[in-house]
Amino acid sequence: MVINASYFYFARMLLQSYRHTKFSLVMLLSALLIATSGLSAVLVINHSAKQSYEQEATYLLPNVSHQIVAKNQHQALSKDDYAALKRLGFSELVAYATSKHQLYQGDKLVNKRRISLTGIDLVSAIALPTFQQKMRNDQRAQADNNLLGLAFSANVAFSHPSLIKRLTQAASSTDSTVNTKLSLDSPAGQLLPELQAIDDASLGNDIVLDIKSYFRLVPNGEISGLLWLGQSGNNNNARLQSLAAQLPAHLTLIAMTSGEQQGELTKSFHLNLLAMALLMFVVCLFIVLNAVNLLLNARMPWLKISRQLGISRGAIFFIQAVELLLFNLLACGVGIVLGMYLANLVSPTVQATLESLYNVTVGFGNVSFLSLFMQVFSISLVGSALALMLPFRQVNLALNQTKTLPPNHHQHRRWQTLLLSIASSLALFTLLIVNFASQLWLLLIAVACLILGGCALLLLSYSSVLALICRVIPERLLLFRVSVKQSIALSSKSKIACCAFFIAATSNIGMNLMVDSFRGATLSWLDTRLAADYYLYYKGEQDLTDIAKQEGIILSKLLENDIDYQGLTIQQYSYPSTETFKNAMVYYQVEDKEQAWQAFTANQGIFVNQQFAFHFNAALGDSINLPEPSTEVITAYNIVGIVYDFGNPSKQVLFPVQTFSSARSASSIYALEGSEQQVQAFKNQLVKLNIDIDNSLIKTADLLAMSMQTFDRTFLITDGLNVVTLLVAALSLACAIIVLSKDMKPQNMLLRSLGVSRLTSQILALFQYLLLCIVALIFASPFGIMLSWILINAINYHAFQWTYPLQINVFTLLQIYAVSLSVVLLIIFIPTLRASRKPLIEDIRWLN
Amino acid sequence: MAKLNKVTWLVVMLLLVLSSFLAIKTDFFDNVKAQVQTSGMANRLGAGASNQDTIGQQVVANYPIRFPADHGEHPAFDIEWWYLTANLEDEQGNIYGLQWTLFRFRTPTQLADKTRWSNDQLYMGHASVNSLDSHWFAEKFARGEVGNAGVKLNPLQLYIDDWNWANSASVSASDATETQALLPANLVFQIPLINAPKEQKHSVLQVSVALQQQGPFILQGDKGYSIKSADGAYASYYYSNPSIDIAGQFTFVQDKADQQSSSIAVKGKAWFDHEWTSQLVDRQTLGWDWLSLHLDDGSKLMAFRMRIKGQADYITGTLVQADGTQTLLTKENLSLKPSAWIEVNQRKLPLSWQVNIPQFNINIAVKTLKNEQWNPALIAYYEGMVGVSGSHSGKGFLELTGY
Repeated sequence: MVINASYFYFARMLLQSYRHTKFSLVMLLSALLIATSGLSAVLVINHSAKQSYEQEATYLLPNVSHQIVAKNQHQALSKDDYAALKRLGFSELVAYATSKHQLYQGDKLVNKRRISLTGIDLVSAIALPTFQQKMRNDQRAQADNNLLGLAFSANVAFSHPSLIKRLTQAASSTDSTVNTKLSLDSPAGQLLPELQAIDDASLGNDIVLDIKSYFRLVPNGEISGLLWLGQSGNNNNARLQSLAAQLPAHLTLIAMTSGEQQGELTKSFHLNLLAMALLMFVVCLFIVLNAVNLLLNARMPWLKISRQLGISRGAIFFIQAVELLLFNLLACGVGIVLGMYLANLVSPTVQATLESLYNVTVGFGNVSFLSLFMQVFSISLVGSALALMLPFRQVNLALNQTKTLPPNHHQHRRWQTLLLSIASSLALFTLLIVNFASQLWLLLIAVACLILGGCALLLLSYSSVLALICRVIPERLLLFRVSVKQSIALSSKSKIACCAFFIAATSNIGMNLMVDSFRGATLSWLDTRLAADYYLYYKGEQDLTDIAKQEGIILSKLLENDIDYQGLTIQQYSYPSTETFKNAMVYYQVEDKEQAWQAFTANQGIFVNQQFAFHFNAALGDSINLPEPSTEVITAYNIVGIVYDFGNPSKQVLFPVQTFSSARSASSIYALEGSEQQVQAFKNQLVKLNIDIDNSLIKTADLLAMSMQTFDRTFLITDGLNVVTLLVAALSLACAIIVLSKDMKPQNMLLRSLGVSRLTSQILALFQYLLLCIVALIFASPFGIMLSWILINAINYHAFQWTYPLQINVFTLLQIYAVSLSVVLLIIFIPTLRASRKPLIEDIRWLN
Repeated sequence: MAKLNKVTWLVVMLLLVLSSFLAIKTDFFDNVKAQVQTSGMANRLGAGASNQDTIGQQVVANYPIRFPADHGEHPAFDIEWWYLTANLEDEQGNIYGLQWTLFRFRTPTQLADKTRWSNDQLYMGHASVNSLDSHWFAEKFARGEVGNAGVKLNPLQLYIDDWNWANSASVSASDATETQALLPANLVFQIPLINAPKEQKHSVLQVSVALQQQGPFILQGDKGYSIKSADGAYASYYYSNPSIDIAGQFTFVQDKADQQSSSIAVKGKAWFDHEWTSQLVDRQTLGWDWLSLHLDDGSKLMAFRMRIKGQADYITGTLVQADGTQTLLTKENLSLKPSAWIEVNQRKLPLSWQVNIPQFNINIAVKTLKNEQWNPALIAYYEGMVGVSGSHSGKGFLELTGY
C-alpha cells in the first residue's frame, strides 16, 4: 500500500510540475513528434513503392508476362498487325496505347508532372480467362464491375483515388465534379471522360481508359504495344514460342519486368530509404536523449524533494518511464498522420525518380494505419528506452551523491585512447570498402563509417583545438579567453549534441558539393554537347533535309536503333561528323582526341558512353561485336573513346551519322546550324507543313535553360532535406545548451558579480556555442568533401554506371557555413534569450 | 427465334449487370441510364420511332429476305447473330454437342466514339463442345474497325480472331452466289477445356468441321418476319437451316509437353439460325426456354416458351416435316411443359420437357443427355444436347436463360 501511495503521490507531483517545465516538455514532445513523423513518412514511401511494383497487374490487367513492341520507331506497331495476330489465334493479346499529357481545368494547369494516359482494348480483354479469373477472385467487385461497364458502354476513365484527390486539390476546387471538367494539353483541349477511382496500386500515376476513348482524345496516337495475358502452364510457353515465330519482321516479343525483377532493381532505392530511416532514427535518438536530459534537469529539484519525502528511486524511474510511454503514444498518433501527409507531399518526386531510374510504374499503396502505428510505436519506444538510459543514469547518480566528484584523469586518458582507436579503425574500414567493395549496401556502410570516424576525431580533438584557440586570443581580451575556456568545459559535456551537429554539417557539405559538382558538370557538358544553334523534335514522315538545304541550313538527323548486346537492350546513336560536333564531344577517356575522331569519322572506331563501359567492363582499345547500324551485319568495332553522358539511364554506342540508314532507324531529333535569318526562313517552311514549331523547334540557349531548370527542381528536395537535418541538429544542440547553462551558473555568477552586464554575458554565451559549432564545421569540411567523393565515385558509379568530376567550390562551402551557423544561431537564440530575462539575483543564487 | 431469345436475354443481362454496379454510383448510373434509354437494346421501341443516332433500324412486315445478300451483316440493326448447334458422334459412338455463335451489336452513334480504332459495331463469339464427361468453352469480344472480327460477303466469311466460318465452294466457282453462300462451309475454332475428370484432361480442343447443306433455308414466322410476343410488340428477321450435315475432326491438344495430341473423326446433324432486329424485350422479360430437335422421321421441330413478368408464358414454334412442309405452332396446337427440375451450377433448371403436338401425333419427352452443360460466359446460360423419346425419337439442343 505504501508503495502504491508513493507511486500515486509522485505521479501527482509530476503532473503539478508540468506548469514549471512547459518548455522542456514541449521540446521532448517536439523531438518525439519529429522522430515519429519522419519515420512514418519513410515507411509509407517505402511501403507504397514496394506495393506498386509487387502488383501483378499491368494497367489493371492481370498476369501480363510479355508484350509485343515495334523493333524501331521507323515502322510502328499498327492496328493491322494487331488484327493479323488475333486472326492467327493469339487472342491473349490486348492492345494498349500510352502517352503523357498535361491536364487543365479551365485555364489552370492541374498537374505538375505529366500524367500518363493509357488506353487499353478492354473489350478484347474481358473475355480472357485470366481476366475473368481475376474478377472472380478479386474482392474489389466495384472496380471490376466498373471495368465491365467501361468496356461495353460508359465513357469513363480510371485512376487511383490519390491522383484524383491531387488533381482536385490542384484545381483548388471544392467542386466534387472537377474530374469531369479536365481538358487535355490545353484549356481548349479535348475533355477527359469522368474519372472513376480504383484503389489499385498498379495504376501508378496513370489514367487508364478504354482504347476507343483514348483514340478519341489522342487521334494521332500510336499503339504502344500488345500485352500478353497468358495462362500458366506449358501450353503458355509453347504459345509464346509460336507467337515469337510468327511475328512480322518489324515486331519483337519482350518479357515484361516482373515484380521480382523490379524488386531487384529497386532494392538500391529501398536501401537508400532504409539508410534514411536509420539516419532519422539515430538523429532523433540524439534529440530525444537531449530533450529527456533537459526535462530531467528541469525536474531535478522536484525529484530531490521526492527522494527526501521517501519516494523510492524505483518509483521515480517507473513513473517517468510510464510518462514517456504515454508521450510516445501521443506522439505516434499525431506523428503518423503528419508522416502520411509528408509522404503524400513528396510522393510525386519519389515516383518520378523511381520511374525514370528503373522504368517501372510506381503508384500509391495502401498502408494500414494499425500496422504502421505498431511499427512506428515499437521503434520509437526502443529508441526512447535507449535515449532514457544515459540521462536516467546521470539522475540516479545525482540523486545518490551529495557532492561533485573530482575529475578522473586516468579515465580521461582511457577515453582518449578509445576514441583514437575507433577513429583509426573506422577510417581503415572506410578505405577498404571504398577500394574493394562494389555492393551498394557496403558503400552506404562506408559512408556511415566515414561520418562516425569523423565524430570520433572531433571528440578526440575538441579540447586541444579549443585550447589552441584560447592561446591565440590575446591576453587583453580576457572575457573572450574566459569564454573559450568555458567552451572547453562545454565541449566535454555536450558531446552528443556536437556530434549531431557534426553529422548534419558533414552530410550537408557532402550532398551540396555532390549536387554542385553534378550541376556544374551537366551544365558544361550540355553547353558543349548542345553544339547546334537549334534543335527540332519531329516524328512525322516529311523529309526535311531538302527544305533545310534550300534555306542554307545544315540539318543533322539524330538517328537511333535499339539493339541487343550481351542480353541487354542498348542504344545505337548517330553522331554528326561536322567540325562543330567534333568540338562538342566531351571525353571521359581518350588516348588522342584527334586520332580518335579520325577513326570515328572513318567508321574505324566507335565511342561508348560511361554507362556502357562501366557496365560491360569495356576499356579503350577493346574490340566489340555489334550489328552495323544500317545492314545489321554483326561487325567488330574498336572503342576509341569513352564519353560522358550524364543522367542517361541507357548504355549507348555512338556511330558516325553516315553509317545509319533512315529506312531502318528512327529519327525524332534534328540538329540545326544556321543564321537567325536562315532559321526564320526554315521556320516559315515548317509552318507551311503544319509542323508545330512553337513546341518542337527550340533554340539551344532555351533548351539549356530548360534543362537546368528541371535539374534545379529535381534537387530542390535535397536542399529541403539538408535544412531539415540542420534544424534537427540545432534543436538537439539547443536542448543541450539549456541543460548545460545550469552547469555554467557558477562561472556566470562570478562574471555577473564582477560587473559584467547581462547582455555581455549572453553574447559571451552565444560566442561559446558558436565557437563549438565553428570548430565542428571546420572538422566537417574535409569529411564532407570525402563523403562527396564517395557519393560520386563509388555510389553513383555502382548504382548508375556514370561519374563526373568533383568540383570543390569555396563559395559553396562558405555558403554552407553561413547557412549552418545562421540556423544554429536562430535556434540557440531561444535558450539564451530565456536566460537573459532572468534577474541578476537568479544568476548569482546558483546554490539552490 | 431461339437465338433471338438468347441474344435478348444476353443483352438484358448485360444491362442488368451494368445497372447493378451503377446503382452503387449514382453519377455513373445517370450516364448509362441515358445510354439504355437511347440504345434501343433494352427498351421496347414503337415502329417508325427511329432516330438513326440512337435507335437501330426497325423490323417491319413484308421485308423480302434475299440470299446470299442477307447472309451478310445488317449493321443498321441493333443486334444480329449467326448461330450453329450440332449433335455429333465419333467412330466409337461417343456423343458430342457443339455450339458456335457470332453476335454483332450496334452501339448508338452518340456513344460510339467513332475513331480510327472503333466504329459503332461490337462482336462477341461463343463456342462450346460437350462430351458426356468434359466441357470445352470460350468466348471472345472484338470491336468493329479493328479487323479481327466481322462478316465478309465474297467469299462469305464469319470470323472473330481465329474462329472462322468460311464458304467452301470450289475456288473455281464462277458464280458469285456460290462463293457468297453460307453453305457449304468449313468451320474452325479452338477452345480450352473448362471441366473434366482429372484423368481425362485435354487442355485445348481444336475443331475443324465441314458443313454441307442438305435442305432449304426456312423463313421463320411470316416469310422471315418473326413475331416474338403475344402483343406482337417484339419482332425480328429470322431464317434457319435445320438440314445440315456436319463432319470433321476434333484434335485434343495436351497441356503437358511430354503428351502427344490426338485426333478423332466426328459427324452428325447441325442446325443454323440467322436473326437480326432492333426490337427486343424489356426488363419485364424473365427468360426463355428453347428447343431445336431433329426427329428420326426426318421432321425438325423448334419450340420455345418466353417467360414475361406479370403475363402468361408465350409459347410458339415451327414444325418442318420430312417433305419440307412448314407449320407455325402456337399455344393452340403446341404444349410445352417442364417435367423435371435439376440443380446445376447452384440453380434449379428444367432439364426435362414434355412436348405435345396432337395435330401431328407428336408426344415426346425431351431430356438433356448430360446435366452439366452450363456455359460460364460473362453472361452465363445453359446450352446443351438433348435426347428425344416417346412417339418419336431423335436428338437436339435445349437452351435455358434467365435462371
